[in-house]
Amino acid sequence: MIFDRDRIVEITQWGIGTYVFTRAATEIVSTLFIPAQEPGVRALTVDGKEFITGDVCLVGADGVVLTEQDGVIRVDVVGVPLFQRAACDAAGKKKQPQRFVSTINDCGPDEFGNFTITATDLNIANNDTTVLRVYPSDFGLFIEAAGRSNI
Amino acid sequence: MSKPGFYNDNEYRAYPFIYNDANDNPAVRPHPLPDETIVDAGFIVGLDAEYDDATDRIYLAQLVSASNNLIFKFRSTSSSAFEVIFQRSGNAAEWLTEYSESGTNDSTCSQEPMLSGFLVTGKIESAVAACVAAGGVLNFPSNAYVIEPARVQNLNKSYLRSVSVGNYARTVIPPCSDEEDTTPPEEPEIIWNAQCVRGPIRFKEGYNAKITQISRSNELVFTAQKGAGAKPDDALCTNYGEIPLTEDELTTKPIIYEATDDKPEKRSKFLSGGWSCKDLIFTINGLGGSNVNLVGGKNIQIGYSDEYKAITVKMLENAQGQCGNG
Repeated sequence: MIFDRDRIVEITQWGIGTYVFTRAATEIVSTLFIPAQEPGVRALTVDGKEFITGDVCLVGADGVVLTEQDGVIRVDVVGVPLFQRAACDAAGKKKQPQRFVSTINDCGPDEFGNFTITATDLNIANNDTTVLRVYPSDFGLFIEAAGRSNI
Repeated sequence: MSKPGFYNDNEYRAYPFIYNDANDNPAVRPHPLPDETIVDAGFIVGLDAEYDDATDRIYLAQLVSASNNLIFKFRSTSSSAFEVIFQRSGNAAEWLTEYSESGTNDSTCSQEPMLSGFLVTGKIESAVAACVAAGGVLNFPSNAYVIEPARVQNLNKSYLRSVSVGNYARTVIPPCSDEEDTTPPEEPEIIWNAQCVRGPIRFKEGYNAKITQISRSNELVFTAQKGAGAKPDDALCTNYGEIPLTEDELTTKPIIYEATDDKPEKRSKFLSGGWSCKDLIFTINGLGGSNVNLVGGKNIQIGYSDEYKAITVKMLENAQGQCGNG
């Protein structure tokens, strides 16, 4: 709004008070209105925060995956399998990959994840005569040979 | 349409510029722009212009006389530098209207000009003479010939132009290495799925997602809820519960270990890498935990070869094997 320096003096001389104008007295001419088309969404707000306008980016994170096809944005929530690693990355900390045993002598586990070491000799027909003994204990997996030692 | 007298009136007043008495002072402005030169103008400031109505303005920055042409250059004081240029022939008729626009900015989704507008000129002979007298170029400061704010429509922050959809790159397990990786984690990059989507947009519930529309308050509420939305299907099962972010991701799954002379490289079957539980040894003879001790009992010596990365189990040379009752 722009005021005429001389005319505004006249208004200040009216005195303190509220002055009500009729529509006919002070109607704004139509040329001063610039209508803007509002065909669609003008802005987004997230939890009532400030308006987001212009070119908006929707980015899936923390297990939420967004995909767009033909104007349809699909929202999938599948989680983050490596959530501990993701948390470390977010905190700027490095997490070394853990090492696992997947095979022993190129043999893998059974369907329950168990690997069995047996004391047998497949070259011997009656293989229960082997001196080798393998059995679990509180201290670990014991492997020993039955018999005396010269020590 | 303007009344015929409107342009005539404007030939004798500062409009469409804000009146600045410094322009009438020959000491300040030895070559002023005659009021009759520009009788009307209007500008639309684009979405990308970062134009602030409170502090920015559109102004006539330069007048150039070249080859019997008069060139008007209008600029903005906003942080994004842009310019609109109008050109008149030296013998152009009065009330000639010209529309012009600046270029777009470098943003990916920008299609509209940063600044566009129209210019209506009156008599330009005096302006040409002033320009020639000044050496062909008249430069004006940003406060000399400022366009009336009412003639500027600012579209900055006025609407939502486009939506781009993407996802942060997934967290993956790096391949095992004997050397400790000390480089700090990088900022996750965004993998774009679609950019600059315009027109009607709909949201669709995927796996475990619930979307609620509240028309009364113009709200969309996104909720994660187990089992909500799309039901698990073959696509989800095939990828072990993960959703590929790109098509290439399915053929370039993370490497578990590099190829060696003895065996080829092994890739994970998961998009995020790592071993499958079914591929790992959890217990040996029923003994589990993070460490299983192999204990050499009577007559047995257990060792470890660092060279071959192998555990050796051998019977002591002085052992006397005894069958039967021991």
